[in-house]
Amino acid sequence: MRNLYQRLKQQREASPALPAAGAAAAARAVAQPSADLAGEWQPVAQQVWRAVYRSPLLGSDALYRSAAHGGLLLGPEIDPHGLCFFDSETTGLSGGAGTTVFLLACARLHGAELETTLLFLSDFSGEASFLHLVRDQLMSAQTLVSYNGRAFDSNILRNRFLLNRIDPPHRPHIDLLHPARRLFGSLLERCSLAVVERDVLGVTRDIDIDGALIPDVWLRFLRSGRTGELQSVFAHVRQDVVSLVALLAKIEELVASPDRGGIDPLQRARLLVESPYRRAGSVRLRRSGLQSLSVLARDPSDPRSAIAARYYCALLKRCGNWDVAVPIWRDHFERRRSVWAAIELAKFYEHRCRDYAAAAETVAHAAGWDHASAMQPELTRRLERLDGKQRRASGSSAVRGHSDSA
Amino acid sequence: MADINRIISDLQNDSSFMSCVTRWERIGPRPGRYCELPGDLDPRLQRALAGRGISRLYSHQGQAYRNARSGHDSVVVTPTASGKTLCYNLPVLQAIIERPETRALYLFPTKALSQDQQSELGEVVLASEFGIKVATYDGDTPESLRASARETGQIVISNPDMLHAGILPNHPKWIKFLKQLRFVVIDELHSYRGVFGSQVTNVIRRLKRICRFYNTDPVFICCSATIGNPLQLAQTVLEREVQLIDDNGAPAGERHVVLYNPPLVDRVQGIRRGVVNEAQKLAIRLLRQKVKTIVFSRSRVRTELIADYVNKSLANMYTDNARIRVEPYRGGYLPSERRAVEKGLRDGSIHGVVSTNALELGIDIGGLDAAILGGFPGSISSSWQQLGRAGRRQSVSLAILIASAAPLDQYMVANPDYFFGRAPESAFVDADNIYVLMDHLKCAVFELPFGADEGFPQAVTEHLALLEEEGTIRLSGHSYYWADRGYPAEGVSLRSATSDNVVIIDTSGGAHSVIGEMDRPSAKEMLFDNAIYLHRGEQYVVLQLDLHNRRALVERSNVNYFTDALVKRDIKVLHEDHRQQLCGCEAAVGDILVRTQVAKFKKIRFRSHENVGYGNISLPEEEMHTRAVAMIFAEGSAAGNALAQLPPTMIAPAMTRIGALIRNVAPFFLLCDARDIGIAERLRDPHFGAAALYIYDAYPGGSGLAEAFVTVMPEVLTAARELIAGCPCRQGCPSCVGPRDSAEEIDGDPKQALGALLEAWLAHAQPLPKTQTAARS
Ligand SMILES: [Zn+2]
Repeated sequence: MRNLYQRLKQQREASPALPAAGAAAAARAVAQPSADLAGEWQPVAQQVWRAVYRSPLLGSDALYRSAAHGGLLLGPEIDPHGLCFFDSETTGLSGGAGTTVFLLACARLHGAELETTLLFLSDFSGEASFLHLVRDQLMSAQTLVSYNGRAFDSNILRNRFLLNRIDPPHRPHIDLLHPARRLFGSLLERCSLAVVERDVLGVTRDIDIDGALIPDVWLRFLRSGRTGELQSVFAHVRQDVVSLVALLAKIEELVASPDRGGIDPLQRARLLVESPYRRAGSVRLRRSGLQSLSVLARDPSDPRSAIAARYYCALLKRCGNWDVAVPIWRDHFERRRSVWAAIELAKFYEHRCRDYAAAAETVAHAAGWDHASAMQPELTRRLERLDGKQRRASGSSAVRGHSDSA
Repeated sequence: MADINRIISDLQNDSSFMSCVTRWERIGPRPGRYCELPGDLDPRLQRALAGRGISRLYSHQGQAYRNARSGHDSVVVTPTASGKTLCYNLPVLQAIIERPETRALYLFPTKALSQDQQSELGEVVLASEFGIKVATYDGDTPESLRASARETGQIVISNPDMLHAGILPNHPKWIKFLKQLRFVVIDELHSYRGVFGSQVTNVIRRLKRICRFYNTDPVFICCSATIGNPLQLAQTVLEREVQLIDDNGAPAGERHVVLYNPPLVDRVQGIRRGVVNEAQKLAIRLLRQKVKTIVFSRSRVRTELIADYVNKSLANMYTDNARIRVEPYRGGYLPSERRAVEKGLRDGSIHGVVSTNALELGIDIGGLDAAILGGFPGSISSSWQQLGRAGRRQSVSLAILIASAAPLDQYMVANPDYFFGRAPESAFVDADNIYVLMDHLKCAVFELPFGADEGFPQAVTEHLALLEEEGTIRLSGHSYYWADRGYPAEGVSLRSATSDNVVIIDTSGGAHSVIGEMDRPSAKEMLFDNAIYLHRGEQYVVLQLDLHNRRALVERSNVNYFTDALVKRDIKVLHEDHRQQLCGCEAAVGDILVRTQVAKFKKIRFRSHENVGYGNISLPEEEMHTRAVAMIFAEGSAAGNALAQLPPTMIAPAMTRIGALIRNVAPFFLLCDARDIGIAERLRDPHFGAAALYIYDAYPGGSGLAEAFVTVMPEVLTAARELIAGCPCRQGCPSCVGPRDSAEEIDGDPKQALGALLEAWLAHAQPLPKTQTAARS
């Protein structure tokens, strides 16, 4: 900074009316890259390049099968051909308005082939055209698939669209990070795509660039104009989207036949219970989840049995299998004094049997347990509501109540 | 009932008290000037105000409202108890009620203030039941609340640091807020002076630039304490026309301001009774009469001592302290504790408070009857802010400044006309400080590509070209883009002080509870191992100061002394960039290391304050790497010769006085604040081999003041000579070379000697503004 100051001072002293714009223009002419991207690269706009690759797609059967029969994330309403697997590379990892996207990779299924499109920005001034092309790519898809794209790529892209006053694209978005964490989180050192790829998919990259170094490569390219180093970045991002396709297939495969992957039945059950992707997750899949859990849930010597029972019953509930669920809840309510079981049981009495008295009695019982203090507010709320329902049910004409608070 | 009139006449009839009073100034009451509630004010807002007993406005509040409504920026000069918050809350609330999408940003200089503001505004909002959403957004805001602050906060309360590092670099996240931003409130504008002011000015430039991008042009409403140049300061910080509202319409009761010099206890040696003892005695006298009193003290330790003595004395006299509650207040407490004291003062459950200057800022603590200043706070404007804490709209108030033995204090009590006649200090800001500007220009490019011909607001084409050469930005097409993977705001701190705090943990009896927090440099001076730490009337011994983990473990203790660290400051030249002949001396510019070391502490007995021992402290030095200019009184130079001509006993006093003189003069030319520069003088400097005077930048890394000083040195020295010649004082005063220190044994008049030195020096000085690059490094 001191040098800068002195040079600024000196420059001012040397030539008070410095033709600064001219000097800058001269500097720019030197720095401007020739952008000699060859081969599959086509210039598509000022400073914007595109490359398209086709490759055979192995193991696509799982995807098509899940889509047809209903899987964890895919279902009949999603046409696999409408999926767009995408990843982007940026000038920084810390976010903020000054972080720019310079590379986008999108992969689409074409039968047994995968078509990967790369869009590359070779200098800032082409950003608006670049973003229009990115937008076209993403908007042509039905559903986007990414890894950590919800938190990172989408946010940075959204910033870029806002800054360039272009409408950001809106498409449903499946982020594979969440299911990958559930399924593999306990098995892996980290849940980065690189680790998942290596340890779950068994992909080995011959030569690869560390993702954290990619911003520097592009910034160096801007200054030198040399494209050599960029090749490893292009290869890297291509492999990323190919792995995304494989990962989605792997997740569907493991969830559909859990015994093969050695995955934690509890985590798998949690995924099925908590899955935000409610439209998917077929009955068949939930049923298959039950088998592995039922054994665990009935083994009181296993410390995980309570939680297993909880997920087991939650899955049973989704399948409408009350006959099996209710005795388990009752057992946990009566013998183990589990608050969650009391609540489930009360819900069952209230909504399935319309027996508000039994529901209220169950809740009141649980509210009396010392260890239930943390749940007290919820129990109280539930009790109040049940009392109201009971009053209305017993003499609806006498009660001029407010609207149903349920 | 508090009878302030009775205590005033008691004091005036107390001959031993009056023998120490050097001036008793009575300031007559001032009637209020009012205006009707604005006609366009929403009826619900009118009712809400009526519920708080407000049926009309002070004239300045009305003017502030009209100004803001008509889209003019204003700066309102707001002494204590003038109804400041309504000046900006009223137009903002009205606008939000009219259009709920409206957004307002409130900036406060410190976090403590913003929290206070939210609670107060909360009252307005709740009372009027408009459901207006007020959100605090600062470093303490949990991640979970940040998104809702951005999305739904209609009034967002923050500070310049957060605007700089959190909001502006992420402005797309704030799109909803920024697109509807109609008001920016800058409270405590007077605190944005010097280098901090330069920083904030540049942050405001960035804010305005981002607002332009979102097509908004918010109205700025600034509030300032009484300073010499509020309008100029506002126009410098905002860089546009601002309207000054300084015609305060709030009524004020009669005020008595007393200058008090403690009695001599040793006439021969000229030793006076200490400020701590005098302040607590006076405070007890007032509190016993139920006079609500604030005592300002100049250090955190003294704050604790005075509060403790007062409480103990009251306890001895009455059972249950006669139900009089006195609390200490200072930095280092938990926010909740500070809030509790502020609230207690407002609702009257706390009768007295002993505070550092922390309560000098605009935290609302209601009106108090009396203020006692335990020592001159260092500036005239601070004095008036502290004295102003006593004063209600209707009743009489009393404010007493107790002088310490320091020369500045002694000068004030000896020269009451100076104290009462001097205008409050002016605030200077150099908006174009090149260091600061370059830093913020980078941040601006990060936030939004910077047009090659865009101004900031002045032309910055050269600056941009230099940044491009440096490689952090890149010209592409017609704009500069951020071309670095870093996040520039992260590397730019608006303040010189470090913000990493040490947490104070009480481990008594196996407990582990956090009792407070303290910044690192202060922690080194107060929380070293074996220190006796006083905290809200409790005594603790420090078991371990763990700087690495930023915590201090303490335990209750019960000894009869407290501790006081001895701080040593030392300067080392790291690198000399260049040296030049200038104004008859050599001026060297370079990097220095300012080392602050606490290596020893004193044990001081409570009450008697006698020294009962020493201890060692082993803590790493606090180091600041910064920029400095050294004026070298080299042998044979005009300056060196002039110094050599002085009588030998006068050389040391003259050198310290040159330092004081330059501290007084330089800020005018550097557009900085006196606290932005450090000054050190050496009679024989080991690096330069001659007497030298260092003027260094108090901002770590430097903010350009050392370099700038070289360019204004001829003017500074000329002004210094004129100041001495024109100052009517006898042997020096705070305005010129500093007051005569009675502890100094000098024969003769140091002011005259320094005048002669400057005359001799400058008569032979030939300013040669030619740079000689130093061969050494
Ligand atoms: Zn003077």
